[in-house]
Amino acid sequence: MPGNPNEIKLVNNAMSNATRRKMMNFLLAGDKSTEEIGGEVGKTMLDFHLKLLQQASLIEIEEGTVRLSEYGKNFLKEKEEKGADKTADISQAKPIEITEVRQLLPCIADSSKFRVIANIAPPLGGTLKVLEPLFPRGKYSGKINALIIQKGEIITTVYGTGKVTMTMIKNEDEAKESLKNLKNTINEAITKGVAPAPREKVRVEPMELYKYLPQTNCGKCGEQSCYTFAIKLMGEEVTLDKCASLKEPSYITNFEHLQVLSAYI
Amino acid sequence: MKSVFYLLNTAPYGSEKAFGALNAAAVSLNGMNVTLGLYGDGVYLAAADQDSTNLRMPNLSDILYSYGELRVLVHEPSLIERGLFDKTLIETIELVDEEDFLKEMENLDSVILF
Repeated sequence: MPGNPNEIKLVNNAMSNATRRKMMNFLLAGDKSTEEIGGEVGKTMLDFHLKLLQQASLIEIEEGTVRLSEYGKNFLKEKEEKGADKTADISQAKPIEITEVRQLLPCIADSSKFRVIANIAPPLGGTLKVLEPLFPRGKYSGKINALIIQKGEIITTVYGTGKVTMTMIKNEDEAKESLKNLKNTINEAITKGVAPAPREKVRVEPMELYKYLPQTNCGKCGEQSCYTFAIKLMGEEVTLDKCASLKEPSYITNFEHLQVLSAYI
Repeated sequence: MKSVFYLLNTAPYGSEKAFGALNAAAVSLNGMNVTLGLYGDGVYLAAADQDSTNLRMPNLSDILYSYGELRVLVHEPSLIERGLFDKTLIETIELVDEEDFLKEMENLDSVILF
């Protein structure tokens, strides 16, 4: 049974490869022959992969049959339990506090703006996923366990570990203000203890908005064309009432359509 | 668009190399396709919870977090050799095998070593 540093190294090394991880998961279903494994993960370097797993005592090979060793089974079980921590339960979450606003770095696209990094405690972990519907333009990424929220120009990323980054910030005061809003929105949901209902996913494209605009390119809104207006509408840089033609009676249905669509932006 | 691969194989904080590589990568983001590769001792940069207060140096993991759009590849075998494989790492990084790491380096227009 692996216990000393060298043996742990063998296990880490064995499990560091995607093919070998796939093999281990495949073996969870039961004993397999080497041919079956080859069919599942590909025959390239199969012997080598098997040998590494065997050296790490994760598997046992007997007359062409491969099975997980007791240690291997426990190893996978432990991993699973670690992963299970990530499941979300908002009623267990505690209200968050902003503990630190740390670094102001210049933005790439606009050097007059800043990027800010802050910390919140306690870390939200997997709860982030259920918080997604709280934010009209929020998106949860399972890969990095982070919630990405867009509001106007500012993009805020909240990581499961408690790190928060924000882009396109004018100054420290604006950063603090945005962080306060973020904290209040999240804490409100946590105090309620009920996960917000998942939002219906409707993807709005600028072309769809353009379809309902007058398409006259009159320029009264200050934009070059109706399409530019649609793009700015997407970025929430302009509002619908800037378009004078939409208020005319002949565009009344279009206006209603646009109002519905812009709610999903 | 031009693509560039910044290769860092020196540990952070001991010298200014890691700081330099990060800054170079960050400024190149505007207009270039940038990948930062961490190799050898460079993989220490991927560790989470770095604290550089006593060193009086900027916290480099904060820079990685701030520029989340920067693609960071970490050479997995180097990570394992240094016993960092089961440690908490910065979320924005990608772990790659030796083969994929080399492939990425070969596919990009230029490689700059720090």
